[in-house]
Amino acid sequence: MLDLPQDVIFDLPRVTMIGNMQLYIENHRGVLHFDDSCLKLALTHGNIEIRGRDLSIRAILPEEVFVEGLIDEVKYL
Amino acid sequence: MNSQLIRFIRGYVIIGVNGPSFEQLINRLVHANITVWNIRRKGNAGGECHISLADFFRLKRYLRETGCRIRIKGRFGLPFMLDKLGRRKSFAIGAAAFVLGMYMLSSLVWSVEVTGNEKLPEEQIIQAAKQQGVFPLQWKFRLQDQGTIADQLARTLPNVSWVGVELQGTKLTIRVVEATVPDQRIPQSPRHLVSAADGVITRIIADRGVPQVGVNSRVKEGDILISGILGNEENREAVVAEGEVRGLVWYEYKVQVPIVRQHETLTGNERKEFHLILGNRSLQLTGYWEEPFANERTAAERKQLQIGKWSLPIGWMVENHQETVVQEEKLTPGEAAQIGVANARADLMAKLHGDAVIEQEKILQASSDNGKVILQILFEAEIDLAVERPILAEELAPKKDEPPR
Repeated sequence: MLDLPQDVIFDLPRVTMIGNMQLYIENHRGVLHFDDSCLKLALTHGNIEIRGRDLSIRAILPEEVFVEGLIDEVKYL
Repeated sequence: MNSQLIRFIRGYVIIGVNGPSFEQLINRLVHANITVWNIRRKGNAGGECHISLADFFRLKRYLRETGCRIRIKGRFGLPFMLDKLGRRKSFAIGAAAFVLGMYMLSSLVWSVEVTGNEKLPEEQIIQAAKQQGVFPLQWKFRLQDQGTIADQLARTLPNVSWVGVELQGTKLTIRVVEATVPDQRIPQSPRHLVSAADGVITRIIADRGVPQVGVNSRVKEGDILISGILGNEENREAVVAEGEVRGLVWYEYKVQVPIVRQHETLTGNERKEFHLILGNRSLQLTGYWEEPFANERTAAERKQLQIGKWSLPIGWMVENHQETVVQEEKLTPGEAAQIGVANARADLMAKLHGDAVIEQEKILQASSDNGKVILQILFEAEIDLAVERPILAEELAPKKDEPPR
């Protein structure tokens, strides 16, 4: 459909992962829970949960998060 | 990188947050466009994050709304450093004084250099530059524009065709190009060209003046060759006579040549002496027990120790003594005559100038007497005859009573 990316059309999160160390999530809707083993973010539909160790939010903007740490799993809830 | 620099300049603090709703606070801050970074959870009820100094003062409202408390854990960046500096007064003053001192020292002219001058003394140029306010330890900002200085210098200095002024750091270079001044003509008083010797003219070219003789005419010493007086009896003018006059002149030589000729020859025997030189004394080291030769020729080669361009008072000398034998040689009359002519010719050429040409040589008479050959030789040489002679006042005076020649 006009070759537009899905994240733009359906307002989906775009998740970029660099190994298991860095993670960019675009199009999030706020932080629901955060500690050093779990980060839970709200999305337009549902939530996303990142599990790992020594997690820290390097930067956060209204629609973007940049997470660093040892990431074990990324889960949609 | 760049954003980190901006953060540093604007200053940031690390704050520890205490409260049940840390996530809530972060969401609120993000929506209020307050940037926080490096967020980390510490324990169950709290965490810490970095926040810029400007945003720190906007925190209060959101803290109240979420019921969190904060504690400052670290201050970083330029505003805090300046604050610290403000408390260390003398250090700040010293730093400022250092910067100011460097600036002042670098805004002085430390040296004035002059290049390109050959005839013009450097002192004169430096003096002239001083008049324009260019001298060592002058403030750079008190100097005029370099082009103006160069113009002024070019105007005040004599015989320069171009002056350039260049300021490189604290060194001011004045470049001078000197004008080439044509050689001044030496003022000459009116003159004749007269003959230097008795002879026959072979060539006469008058550049200025009136030639008085022609080719092949006989002249005596002192005769006017090219007259410096132009015009006729009524209207006359004295000029500097110039021209080229060449003529044949004869010289007679009487020479004696001994028939027996002595000359030294080397036998090939030699001995060497090695000397050590200290100051202006020399100490002979070798060659003590060798017999000196009856006849010898001595040549000394001296070496001086040097460091760079300074010579030390220490050196050595090798004296070479070569044995010689005097040999006698009997000449035939022909050889003797040849030697005599050669000697006479060399003597004549030394007496005449370089442009003289010996045209002919003739042995008039040769006789031997008492172990000698006596020769009488006649040389015919072409020489430059012209000699300058000033024009006398009487010559210029109108000739009234003098009978025409």
